[in-house]
Amino acid sequence: MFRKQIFASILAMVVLLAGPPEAVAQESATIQALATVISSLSITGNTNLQFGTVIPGISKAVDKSEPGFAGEWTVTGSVGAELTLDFTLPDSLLLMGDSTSGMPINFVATDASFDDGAGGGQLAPSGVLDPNGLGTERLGAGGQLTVWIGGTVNPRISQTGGDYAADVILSVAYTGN
Amino acid sequence: MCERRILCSLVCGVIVLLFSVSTPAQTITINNNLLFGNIYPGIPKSVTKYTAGAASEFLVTGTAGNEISIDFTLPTYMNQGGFNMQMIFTENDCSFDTRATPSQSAPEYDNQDPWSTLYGRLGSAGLTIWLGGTIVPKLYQKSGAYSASIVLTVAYTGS
Repeated sequence: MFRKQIFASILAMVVLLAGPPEAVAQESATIQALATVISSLSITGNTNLQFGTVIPGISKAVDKSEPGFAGEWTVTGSVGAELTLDFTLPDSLLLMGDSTSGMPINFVATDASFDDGAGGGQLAPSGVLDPNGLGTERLGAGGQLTVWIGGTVNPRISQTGGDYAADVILSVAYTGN
Repeated sequence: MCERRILCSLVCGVIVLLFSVSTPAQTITINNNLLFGNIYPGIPKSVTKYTAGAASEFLVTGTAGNEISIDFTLPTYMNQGGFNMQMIFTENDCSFDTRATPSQSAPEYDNQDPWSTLYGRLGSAGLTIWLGGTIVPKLYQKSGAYSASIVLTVAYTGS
């Protein structure tokens, strides 16, 4: 009888010592952060803005629709992406070799245009841009946008003869839209 | 007398067994990855924790009323073929809700710091956690599909 008591007590102790079934202490889960970076913008200057020979005292304009004379850039990037177009325009062309002698140049609000592929090219572009302000357009179905610019030089009567030049810069950037 | 002792010992064992049933383990269900969508080079993009379908969402279930600790292992970069893109998680990018009907737009516990251990008590419907973040692509970020892992670890605190 006494042995049975001992056995029962030991059994109880074993159960106590065995403890509870192990609980899961912690749980982890992993998710992914996902993003797709679209292609960077690139811009290429195709044609310089060329006034050719000008006569002192007589202004000369080049229209944006004149192939080979109007300035031209091609912008390439993600299809349909919105971008800003920001021109940095000179106020004069400088005599090459003598940067103190300048010839005034001006650009009016209708002196630039663009085609996103939906227009008819340089002669019938998609729209007009004001090169004096910041423009916003979208790349076309081909992921491209072509921009043209014209302008007017105003040589003085006493303008020194020679070759004149200045940088016309077009900066583009995605807006994120 | 002796039989009573045996019976008493057995009852003790049974009682111990009854009270040693473990607390059910907590489980995590992933409802949503953290989705940034299309990214433009040079333009940072944020996904807020309030944005349904874009913010990451986890559902933790277990024993209602038990407190759990919540720890994130957060990446600092997303990767794509050897290229990386910086990620930022601020001290306000996390929220959670223990109510029966959790609200992502107006969570019970808003502006939580995912870099710190958080504590919450499981509700009848568990505990839902949301996480937002920001990525900062470089101006000439290599195009492509970027990814990073975010690990959530939860554990009962015993409280």
